Amino acid sequence: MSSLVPPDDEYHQKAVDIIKSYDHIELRFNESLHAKLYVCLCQDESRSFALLGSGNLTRNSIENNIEIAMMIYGRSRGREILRELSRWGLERLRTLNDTKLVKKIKFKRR
Amino acid sequence: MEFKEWFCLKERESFTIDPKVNPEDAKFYFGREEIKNRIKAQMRRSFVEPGVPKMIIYGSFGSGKTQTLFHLEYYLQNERPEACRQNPRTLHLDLEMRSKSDHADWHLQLMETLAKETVTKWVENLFNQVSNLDIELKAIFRDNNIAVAIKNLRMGGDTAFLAWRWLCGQRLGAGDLEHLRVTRNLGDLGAGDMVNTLVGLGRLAERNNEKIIFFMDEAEQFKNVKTGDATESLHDYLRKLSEPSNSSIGFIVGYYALTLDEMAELVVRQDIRTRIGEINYIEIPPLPSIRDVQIFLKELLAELVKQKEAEQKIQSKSLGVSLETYPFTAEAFDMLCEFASQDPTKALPRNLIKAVNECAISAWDERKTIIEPSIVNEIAPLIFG
Repeated sequence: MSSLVPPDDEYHQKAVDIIKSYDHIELRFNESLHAKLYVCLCQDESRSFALLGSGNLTRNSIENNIEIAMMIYGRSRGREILRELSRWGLERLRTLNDTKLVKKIKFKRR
Repeated sequence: MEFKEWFCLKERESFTIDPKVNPEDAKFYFGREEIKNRIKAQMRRSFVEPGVPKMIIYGSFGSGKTQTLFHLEYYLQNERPEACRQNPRTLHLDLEMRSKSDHADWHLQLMETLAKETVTKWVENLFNQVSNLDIELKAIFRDNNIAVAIKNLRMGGDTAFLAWRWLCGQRLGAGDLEHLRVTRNLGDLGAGDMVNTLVGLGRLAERNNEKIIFFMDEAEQFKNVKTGDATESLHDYLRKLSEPSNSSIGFIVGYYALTLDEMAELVVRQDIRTRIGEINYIEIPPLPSIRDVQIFLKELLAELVKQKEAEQKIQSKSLGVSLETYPFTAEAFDMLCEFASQDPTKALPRNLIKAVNECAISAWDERKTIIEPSIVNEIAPLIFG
């Protein structure tokens, strides 16, 4: 991320450095992205889930902010929504024109 | 330029095939002609005897079971076999089982997939065709209580709602049973009671010129059931549904398992295997050879890439690749096929599609018009390694 937009705060830079040190994480940057989506896909789809809402996964967000989020489980009608969200995150978001690759994944993709 | 234009994709955002997200993708079945033709032939035969297909499709994760189910559904809807005299009413559901799930849970899932509105419409149509609905319903359902509950669907409002709950196997109190004029709850007589209802609905569908065929995916969920009684009740339900006398409710089950031995015992017990028939347990294997991988990938690219546009691009930009393997160079394409074939257990459609997609995203990141060997060399080990 440092070659694209330097993080404003020291703790941002620390977080980016930690993320960059992991082989199994792909890091991309998109200046317009405001959505907060966390998707966990499991081989057993009924154990998969997504969290979609306003909050960042940060201590400040959890402890001080008023946030809202929806948990979507890979069961019943939640499956369809989960599949749409994962497709959006895994493909659409990664291939937007202004999404820039910061760090490639170096871990086996499932 | 967008990713899809960059690679001349046909009305899609990526190279991914997923009929669960995009129903149009059900028409695709790349490569694997032999298995495709075998399943279709078996399905055609099943409409002659026993009258509906009863099949268990199994294979490893990513082998294409779900795609097979959706494709068979597409096939039935678009090229109805001659022996299937009615219009197929295909119903897709992903099974969900917990540790205590039993036959009633399974029945409820099937009934909710069929839907109250569909059954109500069939009853209404029958009412308009016959002089005495009571007699007809008794002949179709062969049980007075079931026939009465079905008739109540025509009443609308709370009565129809209660009747539907009764038919779904939900337990009703004495007052509600009296209101419906039935003498017991459905299921009081065991799993057979519920199967009789479903098979009767199949006959009602036939009177409406429709044939019910369930496509039940993710049947490995049966393994979640841990209670002995629940397992036995599910087994009873499946056994009765598999009886040769059931010629009105078809089912094609998708099961994640490498071998029959890996399946929940209730699905492969001898009485079930005899009824369904060994020939109807069909394995979807990985793509067996490098040649199969090549065919799969070439067919996939031919279907997903706009051929004319790609050809113009190849010529105008002198890309030096053939249309057959575009956007891969010939060398990159061969390299991908070799990577995919090194471990036969990993030569799976899901992996191949993922590899194509990831290679394309990687080329897109580098703003490369074609996928060169260096990209395949980087991506393929992450998927097939």
